[in-house]
Amino acid sequence: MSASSSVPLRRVTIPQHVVFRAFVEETVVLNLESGRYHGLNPTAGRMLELLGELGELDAVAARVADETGAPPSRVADDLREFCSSLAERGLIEVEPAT
Amino acid sequence: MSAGAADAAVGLRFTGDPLPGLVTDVGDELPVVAVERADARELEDRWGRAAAPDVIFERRFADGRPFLSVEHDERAGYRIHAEEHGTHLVTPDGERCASALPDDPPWRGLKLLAAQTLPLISTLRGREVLHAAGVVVGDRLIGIVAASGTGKSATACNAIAQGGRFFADDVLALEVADGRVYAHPGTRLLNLYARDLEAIPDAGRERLGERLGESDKVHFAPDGFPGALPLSGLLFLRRGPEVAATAVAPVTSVPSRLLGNAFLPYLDRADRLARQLEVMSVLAQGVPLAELVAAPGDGPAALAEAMREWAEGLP
Repeated sequence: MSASSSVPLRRVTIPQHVVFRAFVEETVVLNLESGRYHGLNPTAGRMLELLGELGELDAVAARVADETGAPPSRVADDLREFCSSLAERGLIEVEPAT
Repeated sequence: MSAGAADAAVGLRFTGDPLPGLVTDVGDELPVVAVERADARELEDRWGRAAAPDVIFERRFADGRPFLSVEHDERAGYRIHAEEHGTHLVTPDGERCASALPDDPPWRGLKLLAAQTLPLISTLRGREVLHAAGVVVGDRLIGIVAASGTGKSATACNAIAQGGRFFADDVLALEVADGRVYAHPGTRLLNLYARDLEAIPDAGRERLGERLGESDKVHFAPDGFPGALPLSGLLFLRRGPEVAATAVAPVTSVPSRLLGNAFLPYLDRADRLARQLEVMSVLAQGVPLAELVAAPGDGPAALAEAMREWAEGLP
């Protein structure tokens, strides 16, 4: 694993005020509290879907690496960056690892 | 239910006092809205007693006077009012509507009903409303989306004149059932600029229905379609100064094109926004979408012809 991916991965939840739906080539995320829409490409959309399904970031990273064939360490880094971006926009809540 | 009665529109059945412009919908059970016809002053008194409203939508005349307003009060509901076009009070749940309509000319009250009140009630009752015309071509319902004044109604009227059937002029009330998007017939009102009407041959004009009168547009009461249909395709109309011939092309930026054409954007409660996203997602994934790009010089008749050819080629 890379140095950055050695940081313990955490668990995330998608708040009730956040909904998302696929639109063929794009996933649209809607924050119902702010009324703001966000667009995700298909890979990011799949990551969000798995975050909602699995919660644990390491499990999500493993699944994405398995599905895409991308190196697990790179997927983990990308996932962490993606989660930071989502958290900044209030689209996920990050919990400490248990 | 009242099979045979013209008592439905936008996916709802209206009971009590009659409203104009409704269709005979022989489809499944529809949510029921109780209608009371009342005097305008009586409605104003009621609204004044009950409400501490916010204005959530407003249109003004060029001189600044208010023309159309929609007010909302958490407990009392909605008041829709347009100068000389009527006043409607709608309960917050959309189950009851009290309406004051001008008697004459007949299209005037119908315009406000079709453009604001019925779409609002439809949304409150769980439908999603798209700013689109609808025409049945063969057995396929095609929606036409376009910016106001760019030829949506003219294209729809030409499609009707060429043999299609009227479904909706300005608003498609949508719902998802069994993983498909269904649309409900709209109010029986067609609005068309006189210059666009003149371009339609006489035989085609007869298919537009009874002529009700005219304002800035000519108003017709077409035959209503008798029930919901699955949406077979959706065309986004665009003027294309860069193209040599009118053609159907792939559509881009689908989410923003769909969500940006949601009708009544001022209804932004969380449950409506979530449902809207759901309906538009199913629509994007299951309904053929395309752009109808109009070449310079091609009028609504050519667009209607291109739409018909596209519709006939759909799976």
